[in-house]
Amino acid sequence: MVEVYEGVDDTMARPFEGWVVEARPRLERAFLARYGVEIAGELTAEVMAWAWEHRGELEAMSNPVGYLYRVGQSKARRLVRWRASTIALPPEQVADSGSPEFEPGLEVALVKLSDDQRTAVILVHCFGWTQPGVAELLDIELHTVRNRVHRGLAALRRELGADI
Amino acid sequence: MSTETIEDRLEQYGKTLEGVLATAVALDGEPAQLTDRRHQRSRRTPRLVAAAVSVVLVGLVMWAWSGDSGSVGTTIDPTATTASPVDDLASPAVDLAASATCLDRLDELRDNMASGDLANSPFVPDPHLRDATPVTIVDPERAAVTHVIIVGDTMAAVCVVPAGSNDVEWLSIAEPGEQPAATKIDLWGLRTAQMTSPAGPMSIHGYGRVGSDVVSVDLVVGKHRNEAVIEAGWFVVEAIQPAQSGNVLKASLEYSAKGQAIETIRLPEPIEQLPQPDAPSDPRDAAAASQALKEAVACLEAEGNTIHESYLDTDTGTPTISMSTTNTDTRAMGQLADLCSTRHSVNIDIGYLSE
Repeated sequence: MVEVYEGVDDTMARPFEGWVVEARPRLERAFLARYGVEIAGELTAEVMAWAWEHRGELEAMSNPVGYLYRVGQSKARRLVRWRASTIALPPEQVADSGSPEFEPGLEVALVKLSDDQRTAVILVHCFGWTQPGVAELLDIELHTVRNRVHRGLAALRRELGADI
Repeated sequence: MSTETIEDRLEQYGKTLEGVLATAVALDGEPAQLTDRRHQRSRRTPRLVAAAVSVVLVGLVMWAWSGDSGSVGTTIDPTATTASPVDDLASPAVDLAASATCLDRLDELRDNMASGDLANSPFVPDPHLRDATPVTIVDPERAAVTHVIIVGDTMAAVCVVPAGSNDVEWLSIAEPGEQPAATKIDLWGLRTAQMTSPAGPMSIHGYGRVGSDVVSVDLVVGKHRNEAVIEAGWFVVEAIQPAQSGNVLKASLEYSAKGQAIETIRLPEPIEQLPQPDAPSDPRDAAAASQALKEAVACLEAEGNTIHESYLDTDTGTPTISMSTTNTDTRAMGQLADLCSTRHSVNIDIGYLSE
């Protein structure tokens, strides 16, 4: 279905729609990783609305998704301030926790990571993104992503008492 | 003992997260349906109210600076009789269309100001802000975004006023009394910047990143580096340009203060004197870090690893090695990293060539 944007010529809307279909899920996952489930959806909606209003500027950018992530960071401050003071992540579904070595609470350990580390770890290891893909969306250097993933995993191992 | 690795658990947890997202999409409708913004708008109403409150509060702050109903920004001398900042800044020397839009917005904020209790405002936690000096940075590449930096003698605060929007947001507020008052702020356009005010009232230095190139922004408000004295007013950074090398800001400052005529001040190479954020400030530390890097790289290469780059961590100045490997034995690699880290005091970050 081709959506018709209210008050806007459809020929202008189509390219944006095609672009946003690709960008939105990436942004939503990144926002979930950084800000938790309570904020991610609404934040994504706000950012995409902002993107529509500023589509002309975005078209001229080399990395519009990365820019929108920054927009989301700014908008999230208000959401965090008014809505939630802590990151909310769903509990880990543990199929077999019979092992005495198993330390539950992966989501708690993730929340304890720094925002940057948690974002990188979740995007790479939970959502299966490539590190270059994460670097592009966050608009940071690849080695920075590597650092954050490595340090985040190390912190998770310490927190969960895992040695592998 | 469980044989499930952290990576395995994270992968499984990713399915849980995907399930949460799928549920949210099912509840909200198709993810790409942006046009149904009336529903979003209804949910956003409380925040719009909050934003409106912010606008009023910012207006009040501006009013407090102005000391009278005169122009915003010419605040140090309440008796000053300057023209409006928009007129003052309409210099042919720079394209101030963006700043004019911003100032129009601020003017509108001032005009919209209403009675309120600043002392109890969560946005203005320190009355010193009333004595603060506003500094406006206009990013020429993203003219729609304007940054207002407010610096008082005990604190620094930053808010953003996107042109054409009523959305005013406070980004960062340093704690009152911090010596030096320093805070990291995340600015659109400037990305990250660090502000300090160690040298006295209304003196700040900032450096940040524009794009992938490091630049520095040196904003001088008050007597400070190079004996530049700028007493008050609006400052428009004419250009924030990535330097060819190093952390150099090519900028001139337009200002108006105390009713003086517009002048252009070109600070004589102020930035080069700032410590380079990528290098330790102590030359002896730099030499030691360099030597540690060489030794650690040699150690790792002797173990048959391929080193892709070695660098000084920009945050800590710690020598850091970035290494990629196809070796998936995380325990062995971790032990190797720990060994080298202990032996050489070098951070070793290992990237796996899985992508």
